[in-house]
Amino acid sequence: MSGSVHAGDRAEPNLTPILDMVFQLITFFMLVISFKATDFDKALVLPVVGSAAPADADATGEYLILNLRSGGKLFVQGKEEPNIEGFLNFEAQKLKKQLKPDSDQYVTVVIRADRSLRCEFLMRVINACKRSGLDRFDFMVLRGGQQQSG
Amino acid sequence: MRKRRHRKRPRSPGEVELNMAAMLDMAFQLLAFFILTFRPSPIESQISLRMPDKAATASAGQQEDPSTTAEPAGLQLTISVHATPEGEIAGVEVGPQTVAATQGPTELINNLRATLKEFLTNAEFEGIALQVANDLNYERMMQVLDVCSHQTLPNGETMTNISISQLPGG
Repeated sequence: MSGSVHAGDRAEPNLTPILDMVFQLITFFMLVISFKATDFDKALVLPVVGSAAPADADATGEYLILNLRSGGKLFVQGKEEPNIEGFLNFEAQKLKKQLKPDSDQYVTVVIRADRSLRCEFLMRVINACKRSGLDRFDFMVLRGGQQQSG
Repeated sequence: MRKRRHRKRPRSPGEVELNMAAMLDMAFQLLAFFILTFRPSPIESQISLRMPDKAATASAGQQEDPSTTAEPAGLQLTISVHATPEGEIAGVEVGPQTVAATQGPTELINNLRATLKEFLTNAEFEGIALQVANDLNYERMMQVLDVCSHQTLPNGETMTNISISQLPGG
């Protein structure tokens, strides 16, 4: 009797099920990746407010997402915008042209501001938006009980 | 003992044998990457307001369509929020009345809620004009705004007519 393992005795596990499962997991992670991540400044810590409404996914129209950092700086899609008034005016005109004519669509300014931001800078941005004809605002917050990491 | 002879099964000419191990290696590396970089972001909520520019509306004159201008009309209840240099709430005035608080911001917010309810029940206010100090912390302002946006008018409707402006004199 021979105890050695012959080449012919080699087990060949069926790798197909494990490969299937791994590909399904990969698909899951690829789907949950947010490709809009550049719009959201990860450096911000949003304020925690008791009972705000969940974000409205059904609203129609265009969105202008503004990230206001605590030092009083405006970031849009990862880039700092030093000329706030000029930028907002330009974007307002551009987004309004993208709205369907004779529809009830509108441009909404989404304000994502750091919890420690001074209201002086916030009011400067809001007033600049109003002067550009943007009067609908969504202030993004975290609901009570949620904590934002980093 | 008779030895069993294993002979390699002869492969038919058209049969291709894939090397699954290499593909599995790659798939695991991709999986590891996605697991390590995955950071679910918290679900954000929103407070929605419509705040038309008073100056723009006034300059538009009579030609402005009333349905598109939600300029706060009727009696407005003014809420003034004063701030400490650190950005905390130093005091809140609802109309002529000062909201008292001795034990910090939570008590102040609760007192503000009660005072607002009292004002809105007893008088025909149709909107709130929120005036905030320049130094006020954004989080504190949003807490006050949250209280305002959850008030109900005497006719049972939720308060939506809220404007925000800077406190005169900062």
